[in-house]
Amino acid sequence: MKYLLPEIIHKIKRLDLKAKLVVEGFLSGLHKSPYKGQAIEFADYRPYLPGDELKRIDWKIFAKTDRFWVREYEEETNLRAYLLLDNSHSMAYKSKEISKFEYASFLAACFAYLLFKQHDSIGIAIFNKKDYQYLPPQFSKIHLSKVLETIEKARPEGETDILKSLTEIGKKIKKRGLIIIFSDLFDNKDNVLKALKNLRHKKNEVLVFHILDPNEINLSYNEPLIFRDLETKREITLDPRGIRKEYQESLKNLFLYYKRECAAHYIDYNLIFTDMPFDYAFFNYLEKRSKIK
Amino acid sequence: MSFFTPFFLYLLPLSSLPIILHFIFRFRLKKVDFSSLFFLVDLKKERFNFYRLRDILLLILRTLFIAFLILSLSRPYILKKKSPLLKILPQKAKSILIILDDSYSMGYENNFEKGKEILKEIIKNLNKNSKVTILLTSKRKIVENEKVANISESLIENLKISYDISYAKEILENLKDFDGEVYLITDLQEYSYSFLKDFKSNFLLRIVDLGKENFKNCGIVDFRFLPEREEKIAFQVKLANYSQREVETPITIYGEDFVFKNFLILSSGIKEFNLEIPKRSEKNIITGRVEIGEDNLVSDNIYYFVYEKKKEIPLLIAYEREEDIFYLRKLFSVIKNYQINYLSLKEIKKISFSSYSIVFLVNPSKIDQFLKWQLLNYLKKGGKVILILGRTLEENKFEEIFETKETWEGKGFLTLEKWEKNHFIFQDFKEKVIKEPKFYRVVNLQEKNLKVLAYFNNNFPFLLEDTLNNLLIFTTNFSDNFTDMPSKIIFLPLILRTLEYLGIERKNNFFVGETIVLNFDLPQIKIMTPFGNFLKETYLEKGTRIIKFNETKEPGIYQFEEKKVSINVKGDEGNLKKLNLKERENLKIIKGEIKLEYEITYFFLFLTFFIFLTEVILFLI
Repeated sequence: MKYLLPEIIHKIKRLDLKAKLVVEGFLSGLHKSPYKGQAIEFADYRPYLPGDELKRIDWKIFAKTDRFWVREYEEETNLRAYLLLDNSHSMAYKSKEISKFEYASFLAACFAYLLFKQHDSIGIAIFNKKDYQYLPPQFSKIHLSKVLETIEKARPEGETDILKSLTEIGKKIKKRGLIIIFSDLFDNKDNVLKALKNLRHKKNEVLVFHILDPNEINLSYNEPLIFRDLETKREITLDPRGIRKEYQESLKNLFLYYKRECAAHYIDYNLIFTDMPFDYAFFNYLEKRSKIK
Repeated sequence: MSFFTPFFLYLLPLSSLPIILHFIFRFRLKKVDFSSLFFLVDLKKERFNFYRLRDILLLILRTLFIAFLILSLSRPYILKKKSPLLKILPQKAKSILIILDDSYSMGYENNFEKGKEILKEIIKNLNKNSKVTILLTSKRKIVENEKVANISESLIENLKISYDISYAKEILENLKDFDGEVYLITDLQEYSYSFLKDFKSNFLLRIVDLGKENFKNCGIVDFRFLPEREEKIAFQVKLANYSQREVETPITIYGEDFVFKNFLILSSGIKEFNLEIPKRSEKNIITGRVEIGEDNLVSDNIYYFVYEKKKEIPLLIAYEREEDIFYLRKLFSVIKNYQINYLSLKEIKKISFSSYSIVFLVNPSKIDQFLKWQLLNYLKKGGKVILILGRTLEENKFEEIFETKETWEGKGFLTLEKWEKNHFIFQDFKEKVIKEPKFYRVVNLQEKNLKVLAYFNNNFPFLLEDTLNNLLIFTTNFSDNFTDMPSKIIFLPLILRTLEYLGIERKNNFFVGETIVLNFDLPQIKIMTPFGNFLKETYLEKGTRIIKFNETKEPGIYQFEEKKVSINVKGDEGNLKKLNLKERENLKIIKGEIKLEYEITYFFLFLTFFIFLTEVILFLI
């Protein structure tokens, strides 16, 4: 799979991911947990078989049915991680070799793999205004493959409506977890923040990777051009030289706004440009996370 | 504003290139996909107009940049409106003669154009009732006794420089009775104006001097073919470098099917170069030109030539006494182009003259019926005869043409006194040279159907020709008992001119305005100029076979029916050396260089640079 480049996997193996918050669920290994003992997620009942631990027999069912039923649990996980990948058409923009969507996909795939190595369950949601594709978090190798396959199959399409998309996805997230969002956030800033706050409100840990192409801030065109919106196909003629300064100023203000508001709501906001080395951006983030006790 | 190198102005339309490109690209705006116009839409209106304005400004600057650069290359100059000339112009109405030098040397650094401006300025500032005559030194009359108001500026504007030399001397010498003022606008070349140092006149002569003390010019002064070698055409070019420095110049020889290029280093002064080119063509006549590198005076940088393979011309010299042809033998031993047969008068009766191009009949004692019949037959068929007499003929059957009377001898000597100065034979000979030979014995002729071309000082004729230009008669023999002419300078050129005149010695290379004398058997001749135009047909006078043409105005190859001749400028005119201070001291020269024009190339270059700088600054904003 192209997203799992060996050199990246090699580097990730040498780092530890320390989760910032202890979420509900079972935590073992390197993760800290507020609970003592096992964190068990009930999955189903099955008939008792010789060799099963007696403490796993459900006595209430026995009382009702006069038969031994043993509780089945899902595999033990440390964390539920939701990878939310924006596949609106604006993510297809690229000024060089790699588009924002490709970059975001790389990051998401790396996270999926890393979380899998940490025995965390991974869920994925790929969204745009029109619809979204959702795989609930699970921990299995097969599931990881499904997640990665989903990422790989996804193509940028449709428009952006962050509030609508994240609200709908948020409804699917029943239990607290780590929500990692990969998006260019090209939407109304208040709506974006409202959506993020909604997710955070459910006690989720929210990480935002605001992914942009360097040319989206540099606007390095030196002649009047016809700009066509990738999502709406709307066209406007303008001279970038004349608006560059103001454009950059307004973007900087937006970044500051996101940074400030996200910090206020304990949302981790990261601005990443696609010309940054992929591993560099990724490890920078992990190093930063690793310092959080 | 005028320009020294106006041909660069043809590039001026290039300055519209930025505008054309602007409009091409304006309607072909590139389309780019952008992730979202979310943040762009609101900013669209802001400051966009400034850049639009800047683009328009850049467009104007670029257009101006190219335009000024081209203008700089064209070396613009402006004309000064006032010159010292105004102070000396007469206030009262007078007869004014203005002579403008239009010899080709005036082409140096645009002197002719300056001369025209001065001419206009003089006319403009003369008393309105003055009557003006304008002459050019090439003898062209522009206006005669016209009131100032009737002379239009365009008449002067349209004057063009000639390729001729200056005939100012001739013009001024013919003005003895003029009682007005004469203004001579000239470069005051030593070559044409050395006569001025001794020139005396009744009229006031003012000279407007446009000449330069220091000048640079190289030119072809002379060109002649050397004796033919096998498969090679050899020639000698005389090149002059009139500047003080050594000059390296390319020399290129263009022929009908060849081009040869070489480089020469010319030290100061005149130097001869022998060059040879392989003869590829089997043609007997080859036309071409020799060119040296261009300089400030281009007219003398090209020399056109017509090469004609030399053929030996058969001549018959018939004589009675050996001593009569002593000097003719000597002369023709020097000139190699002739195949000469010397026969006695008795012997010639046995032969036909038709195989000879010319017959010299030297000092016969009689012209009998048979000889007359032989000669008339030969002349009828186009033959040429030179009859050299030395005594009264015992028998003369040519009595319908001339009769011999008494012989003049033993009373001192005679010299030549009168001659037709414009006749081809005597043209360009100095008077002193013609008058130098002494004649001790001459025959007096009673001419009948002959024209006398030269007389002795006792009014006896010396040289006569018939109306068909086929027979020339000298009335004295060229031997010691008759004259000392063979020992004088004139002898060889006179005989050669005579041969040339009779069409035996063919000349192919002439100067502009020089009389071209050609022999034709046709009643009318078509003349084609170097530019391929036909001049109006020239009709030969009845009974004559010689065409005299002197209307060649420009250098190049002219064609007279099948005959080609080359016309060139006189090389000496290219020597721009001025009269020295001593020679000028008695002349009324308007002193100081009258700088009518101020070259403003540097101003335009500054503007070009300034625009470039502004453009760079504006571009960086």
